[in-house]
Amino acid sequence: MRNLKKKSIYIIAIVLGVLGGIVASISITATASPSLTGSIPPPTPPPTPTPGPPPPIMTPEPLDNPISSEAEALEWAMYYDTDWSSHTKAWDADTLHREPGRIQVQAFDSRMEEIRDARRPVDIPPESPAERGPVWRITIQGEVRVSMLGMGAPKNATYDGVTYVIATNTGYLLSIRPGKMMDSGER
Amino acid sequence: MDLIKLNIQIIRRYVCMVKSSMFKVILLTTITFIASFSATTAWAQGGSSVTAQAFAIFYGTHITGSRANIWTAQQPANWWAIASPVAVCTTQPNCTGYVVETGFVKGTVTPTPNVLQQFVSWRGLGVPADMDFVGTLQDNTWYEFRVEQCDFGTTNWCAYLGNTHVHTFTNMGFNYGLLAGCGGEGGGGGVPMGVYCYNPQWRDTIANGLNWNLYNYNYTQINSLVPPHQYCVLGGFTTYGSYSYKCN
Repeated sequence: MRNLKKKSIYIIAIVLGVLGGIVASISITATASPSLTGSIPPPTPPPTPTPGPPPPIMTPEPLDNPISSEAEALEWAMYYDTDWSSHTKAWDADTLHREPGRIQVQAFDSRMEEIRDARRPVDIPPESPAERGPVWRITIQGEVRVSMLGMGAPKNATYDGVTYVIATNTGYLLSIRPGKMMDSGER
Repeated sequence: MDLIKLNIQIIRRYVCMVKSSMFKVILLTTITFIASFSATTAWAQGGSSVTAQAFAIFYGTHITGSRANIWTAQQPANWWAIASPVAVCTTQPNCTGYVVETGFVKGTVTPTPNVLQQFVSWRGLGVPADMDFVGTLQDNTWYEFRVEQCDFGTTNWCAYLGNTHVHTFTNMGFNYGLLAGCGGEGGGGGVPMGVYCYNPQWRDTIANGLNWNLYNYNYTQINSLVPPHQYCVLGGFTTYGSYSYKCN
């Protein structure tokens, strides 16, 4: 009888622990993520698709002053790098001179010229609205975690460096390419 | 000597306390609380660094194209990324092989933050993903995205927006896939993706000519864990994303 009472108390303790944990977790997660609180309304349901071509791709506004120096190109790379990558060893604008060889900045007359130089298996067809003017290519060497989108893309992988290609006239990011994979991050 | 006695007394008291039922109950409650808290949080967030995904998937034998109408909705701003690609992948059931895809992406990662971009990406075997941006798209618009083998039998893969050929990956090393997919992807659980794949289709020009064939679901609105959306992303990340399913 005493044993039964003891067991019941333990079971109640476990149940209380589990329930408490779930309630605490849900309340914390809901506070942290606005989408879970329901404060973000769901998108309006779409209308039925209508036949005909979609609106064309919009051309970005050119910058008042195109990117004209390595330092400016590096600033743009830093801007994109903040969102895409996380470097084991941080870098800044001075790294270009402080650590020779860690960062390469190179200007090209056209996007296709950069693609050919990098020996990428890419072609931008003539009818494509994609930007094809002059570009800057910035490569930051060293171990880096890059968040890549896409089916089956490893989300936690580390690579040996990352390369950004940025349009000289608009500052738009045209390409992102991680270097050789060092660790897939999958355990 | 007194100090040793005192220490022994303290240890005995401690042992008594550990033996006491009350302490055991408190300990048990605390452990289960921590375990359940961690498990629930990890489940709700889909893990700390995973990407919430949900795709309509079609498994085929010689898939040479995948296309769908995708509604760009008006996804909220300032999430890292909300994306919706169509894809062809060379392996099934998991996409661990070659994959080529195109779709939209919106978030803080886009060239102008929160302004939609069409992206095209490719990944090879042991080769990191390679991603290009094509140009700016609009909210609240239907776009047909398509990836397909450029010409019969070749290993070049073309990406389209509507009927406009926007990008080519050349000599990809594969001329058909085993999986076609369309769906939403966002950085982390709870991302309000609001992605719609309408009329997702695949084609197999080797066995089935130029026909396009419908697969899986038509409309998907994905918002991890949150009803009343039609489909939910729930469960752990897999190499091709979590299956979405009707959650209410």
